[in-house]
Amino acid sequence: MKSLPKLSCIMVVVLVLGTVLAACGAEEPSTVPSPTPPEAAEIEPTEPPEPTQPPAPEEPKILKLRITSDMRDLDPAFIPQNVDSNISSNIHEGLIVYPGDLTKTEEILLAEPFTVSDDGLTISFRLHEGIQFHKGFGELTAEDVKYSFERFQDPELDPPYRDDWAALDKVEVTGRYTGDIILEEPFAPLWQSTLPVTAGWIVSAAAMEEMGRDALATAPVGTGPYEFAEWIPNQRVVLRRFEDYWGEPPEWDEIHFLVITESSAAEIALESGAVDFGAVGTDAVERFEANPDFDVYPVDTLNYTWMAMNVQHPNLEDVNVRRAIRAGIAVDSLIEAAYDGRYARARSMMAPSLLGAWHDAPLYERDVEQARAYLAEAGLESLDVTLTFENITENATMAEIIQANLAEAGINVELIPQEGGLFWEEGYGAEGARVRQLTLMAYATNPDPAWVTVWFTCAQVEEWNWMYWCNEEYDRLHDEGMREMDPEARAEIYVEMQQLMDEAAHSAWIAHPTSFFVAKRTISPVVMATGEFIPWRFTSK
Amino acid sequence: MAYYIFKRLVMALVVMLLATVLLASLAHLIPGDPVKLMLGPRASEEMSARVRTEMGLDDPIPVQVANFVIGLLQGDLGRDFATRSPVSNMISAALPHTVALAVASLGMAVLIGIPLGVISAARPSSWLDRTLGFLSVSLITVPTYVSALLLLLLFAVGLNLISSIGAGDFSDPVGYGKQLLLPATALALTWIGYLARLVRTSLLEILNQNYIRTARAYGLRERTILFTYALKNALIPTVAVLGVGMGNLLGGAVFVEVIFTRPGLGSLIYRSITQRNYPAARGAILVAAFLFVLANLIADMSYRYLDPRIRTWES
Repeated sequence: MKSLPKLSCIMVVVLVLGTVLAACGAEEPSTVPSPTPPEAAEIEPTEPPEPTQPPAPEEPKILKLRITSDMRDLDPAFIPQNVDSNISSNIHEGLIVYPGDLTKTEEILLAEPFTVSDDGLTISFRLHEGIQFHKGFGELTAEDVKYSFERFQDPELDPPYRDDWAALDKVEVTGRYTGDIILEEPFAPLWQSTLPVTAGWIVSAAAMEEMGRDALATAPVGTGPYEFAEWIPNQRVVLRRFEDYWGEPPEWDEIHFLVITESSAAEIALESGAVDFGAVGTDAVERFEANPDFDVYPVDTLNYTWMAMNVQHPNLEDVNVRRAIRAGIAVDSLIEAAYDGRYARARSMMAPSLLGAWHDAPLYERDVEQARAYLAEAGLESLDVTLTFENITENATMAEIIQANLAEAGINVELIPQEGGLFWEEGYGAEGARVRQLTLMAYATNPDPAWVTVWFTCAQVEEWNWMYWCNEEYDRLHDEGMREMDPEARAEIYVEMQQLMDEAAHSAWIAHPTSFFVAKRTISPVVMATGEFIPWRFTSK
Repeated sequence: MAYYIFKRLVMALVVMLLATVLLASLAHLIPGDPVKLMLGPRASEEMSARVRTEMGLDDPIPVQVANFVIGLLQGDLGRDFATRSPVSNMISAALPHTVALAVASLGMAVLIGIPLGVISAARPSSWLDRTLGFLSVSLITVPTYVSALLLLLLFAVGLNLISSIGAGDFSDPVGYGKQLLLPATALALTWIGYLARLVRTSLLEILNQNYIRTARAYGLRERTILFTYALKNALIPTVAVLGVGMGNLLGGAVFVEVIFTRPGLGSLIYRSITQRNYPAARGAILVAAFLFVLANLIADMSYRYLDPRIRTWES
């Protein structure tokens, strides 16, 4: 056995190397010191307490949530994904918020309701007094509101969400707690997708000045019920209850966001009790529905999936060819096969719960004879086209069905599965219009119809409008919809826009994805149709 | 000996240099715009252009590769595209978790696999040998991601004994060890089977050699022959295989790290490539390549140390 120790020498050398590396360079977690006392486990007495001693503190009440990727940027002007808004919504607050669904907003930081001028261009506000920012950055004032909104127009900063405040002229501070939001022109999305969501969250001007944007992006300061405590990259983000919160104290002492990218790992984590709440794939829904320890929460989102047809491609420039393709696809079968029939079928890109949804839009059923007839009208007996899609299981399933469906109508489809980065790169720019024919697409949206229609304007043709379709009337209506403040008139505008798209037959609408969240039966979660959840509003049953 | 080590070190350096240039170039062949992926669809063209310039993506690819190599020689692996933090910080945060996993899994494999191989070789063609042979081949053929999921379902969900996710903190060694147990076992299973077969084969070969027959003729005890004279020589090929294995595992056990959500080098490489995070991908792959070369270098040297015939042959 003399050689075994020698053999283990190699292992020891590598172990020592690793230990040295760990000691020399292990990145300290991004931790913000907090005045809160040490955790209960550290101060628990080793012996039973004497009757005269204070009782041992209870274990902290921790809510553990799955996030599908690591956080990237928690600055309200830059939030790149739902994961970041799910975290940041516990730290930041706006003047108004969606309390849990998108049908109403709730005023939270305001001492009295907004006053809006007759022309709709001046919105006056009065803040509650005594609201404190985290980490000792002082009281919330109208100056912070001015700073938070006007920074969206700072050309140096140039945040991606600057269009949320496209109509803002300025914010005038009229007192320590009062001010006027002044618009250059009426801006309908203000009340749906600016003030109540991330673009309306208030940041601390003092913290921004002292710490800088880069630091606050990963350790933000707000007025919300939880303050940022710790970030261990690719492992977890920890928020701790803000003891000086101005409102009702939330239930949980800490909220832990655990990074679990793989759905199967997340499902196991839920079943083993490692997390209390998280999104799961459609294939796991049945299993959790049958498990008495969990509740499944399906949320019909505003997102939309469809098959885009490139109207500029020679194969698809004839509208009859596009109609033939639309008539040749069995959309219900796609949803059944790819999503276990659990997604709501889409009539257009507007989800039914969104203002401007076209509830009477035609629902195209598969009609092979009709498809052949359209093809004949285009002077064709058969056609060869390509279908490009991001190579994930659901898309591959749908693509194969589309291929089989269209083959019966005389349309031969070549499938082009692509890795995510290539898929999004190739369709973008002038090259996309040349190479793409049919493309399986999926977009998410903010809760305002303008953020659905904007991607299909002429200005987006070489950017995100992958039907490469340009219609001036559609563009005019889009601009009109942004300015129209009457909801009914606005809804009519968006229906008209969807009708224009339907006539152009450049899309086969598939589904509005349903997000499935699983929570322990002891927890009541709050999830919105944007697919975001609001952890600080979670309660135990 | 010194010349041998010098020669191997020079070769290792050449391999590293070639690997660096190749990897840095290959990273740019992956299609996809990191700026678009990072900033999202609503970023303005001006913003995208500014970020592209800041990242050095405006430079021709050979210039970017040269900049990477020059930076590397100065000890700078560049900055991560997403968080702008130094890549070296990301790697040094991930590497200890990967090293711990690799050492634990190979350690487990050595402690279990080698004895199993010895037991098989000591009783060739017995029912025990056949059973161990069946078991070893079964372990070799089960893919790591399958054994990882099965272990999770059994121990984390079914028996609820061990937490299923994360790596834990080094400040809590007991907790860290518990978190390490399942992923290390998942990785070790294949190696246990492999080492058991390898040791059995080598040992049987050695046991048929003349010097073993001579030892038996001298009347030495079978146990002494097996452990003192045969096993030492039988383990020489095992050491070489372990060197390659250690290099591979240090390069990133991607499946296991992703399934157990461990923040190691493998998951860092995977994530960096999907995000087109060139600096992070380049740096992490380079470190993986370095560790692979280093592990092989150590294995080579120990091979030479363990086998005096090589030294004699060289002299």
